[in-house]
Amino acid sequence: MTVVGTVLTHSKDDFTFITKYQFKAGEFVCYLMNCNHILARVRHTEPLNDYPVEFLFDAVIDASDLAAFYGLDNNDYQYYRVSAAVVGYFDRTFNEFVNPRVKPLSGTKIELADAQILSDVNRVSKGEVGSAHIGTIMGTNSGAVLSVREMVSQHLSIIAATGAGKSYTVGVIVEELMSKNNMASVLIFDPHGEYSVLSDIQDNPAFCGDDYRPKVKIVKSDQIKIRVSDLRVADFISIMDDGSMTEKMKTFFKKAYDKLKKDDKRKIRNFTKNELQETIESLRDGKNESTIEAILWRYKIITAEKMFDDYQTIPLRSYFQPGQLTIIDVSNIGEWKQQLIADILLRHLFDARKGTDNEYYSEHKHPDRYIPYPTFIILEEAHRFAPQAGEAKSKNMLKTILSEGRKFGIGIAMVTQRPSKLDADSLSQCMTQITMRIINPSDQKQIEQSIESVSRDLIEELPSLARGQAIISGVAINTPVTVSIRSRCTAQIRGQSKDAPGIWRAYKLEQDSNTIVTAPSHKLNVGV
Amino acid sequence: MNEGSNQIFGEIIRIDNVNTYLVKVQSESSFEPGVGEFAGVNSCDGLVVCVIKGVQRSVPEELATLLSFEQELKYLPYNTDFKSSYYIVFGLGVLSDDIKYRIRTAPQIRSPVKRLNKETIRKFHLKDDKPNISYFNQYRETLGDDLLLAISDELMYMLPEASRMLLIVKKYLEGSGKL
Repeated sequence: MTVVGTVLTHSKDDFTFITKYQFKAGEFVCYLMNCNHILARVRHTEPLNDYPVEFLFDAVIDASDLAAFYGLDNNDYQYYRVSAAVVGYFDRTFNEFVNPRVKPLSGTKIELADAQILSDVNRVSKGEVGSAHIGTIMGTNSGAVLSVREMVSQHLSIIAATGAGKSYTVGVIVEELMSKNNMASVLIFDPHGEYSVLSDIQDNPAFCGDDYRPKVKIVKSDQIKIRVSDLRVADFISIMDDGSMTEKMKTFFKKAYDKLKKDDKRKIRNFTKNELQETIESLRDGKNESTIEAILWRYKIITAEKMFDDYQTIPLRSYFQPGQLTIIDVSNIGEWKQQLIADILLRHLFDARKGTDNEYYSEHKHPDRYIPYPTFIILEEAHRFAPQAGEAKSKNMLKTILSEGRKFGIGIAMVTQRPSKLDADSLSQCMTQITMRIINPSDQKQIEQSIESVSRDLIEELPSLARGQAIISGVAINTPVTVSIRSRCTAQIRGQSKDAPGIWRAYKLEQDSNTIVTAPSHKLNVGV
Repeated sequence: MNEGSNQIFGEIIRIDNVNTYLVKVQSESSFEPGVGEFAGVNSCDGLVVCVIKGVQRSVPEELATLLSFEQELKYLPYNTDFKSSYYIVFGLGVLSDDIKYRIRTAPQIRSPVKRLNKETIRKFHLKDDKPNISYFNQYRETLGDDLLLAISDELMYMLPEASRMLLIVKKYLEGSGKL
């Protein structure tokens, strides 16, 4: 162990030590107390002494030269006062950090936390089944390894400002999930169509084992079909209603829908677009002609959408398979359709997992609904699917899965750059958090209120995190830790900022080189 | 200012501690030192470079009644000698082969005290050929800011190359950390 400082004093929440090392917030140190190495997290670092302010006025003369001239010891200005919070010692019996509840005495030697102690930060070891090595603990070479078991069962949030490395981090998480250590069943709901590069995974030997080779399935929006009978009456109305739908029209539509649904149950099959249309038409009584016509006009517009089908629906078993990554690319469809697809997908999946676990569904009788393994869904732009203000078709189902999904093995990763626009309840259900650079104060406030395990001092660090650095907290790791996300094995995800000047110049220069210069059509006066 | 040789102008008649001495300057002395000026006295360690810290010419009558005549001669000589000046001189350091800002041996009683020429003063204030007034920080509390400001004024002339730094130090002393 390398001694790096000495405890100066302590307060209720932390202690301070003096050192010549430049510790960054989030780094770890330790000290010995009662034969236990107590881990402590650096909260902030400030210089111990400042030069007299008058010594700083002259633009030419260095303060250090002045100090030496005046008789101050420049060495005194090389020390830092570091404030650190006690994490505790790792108790192997309980497999967690135990806070000794006693601060170190003044004069206690502070040591660098070595790899052995830092490994206690992780719940699992790198390379172990159920592990996800996503980077290194900041300022060290020690790996940061998440417990996949906890991460996928108790939901994950990945929060970062644009350009902070959010999609990159999702890529790293997916790589780990698809590795032979996990062979996960993962689906990415991709509103920007940026994750298709992850198809590299299936051809990359790094992900293959003896008999294992991950599969990547990319589903484009025109391949997605929603069976009309899977839509609820509220879904229909929300799609049809552009603000001009009267209560009377809604009541008639509901009447038709309920009538058909009751009939549908008796027949034990799903209704078609035409059947619902006929049922609406059957409600004509001579007095409601205009109302029925208005409903039909709206109904025909939505059923003309290719997405709605009489028989085809979301093939859950095809989307969710262990060792398979499914990327639903919904980049070229509108937000309400994205929400609708997400809602129906989540609803079916919840039903399937619940039914399979409760043995309502069997492989033989319900092959499309039988999913006997946990699944993990990554929702990019999660604030679109569970907004804090306003409604989204997918919001209720998402909240249900976030609160009850753990029991049935459905994990959700909520990925967003605007946590303040994401439903606070939903965010608080994500028990593992990967939080990257966030500058917006309202976003920081939302994180502080929704994520219990992240302390105030770590929140304060969010704006100063560099690209690719993240604070990881929650159940997948033993204590919050600042991590440098590792390099990806797969190609870079699109979504990086474009080099606009470079592209403009290249385009213009290429265009100019292709232009054939011809003689002017008018006669030139050459002065002859 | 004394540009040339180191001229004797008084003698030590009392030593309070290794740094502080009382110097008697005869009334016929042509030199009337001012506060902040430099003086020197030899000790067994070398030349003790001193600064004139104060002058005592008053007759503290309330003390005179408490002391015998013999004691007055020893401890309050200015009570009985109204012609001479009595200067409190503070030893800043020792100049021998190198400069030491800690005095370990006091000079002897009756040691002659001399004015220091510019060359000696410069030598005392140059450490590794760089201007140095580190005794300022060391003795700031003992000497007080007013005396240090007076010394700074002396040094502006003696160490012109350090005048810019001296101005900053003066500003610092005048501000007393108010900024």
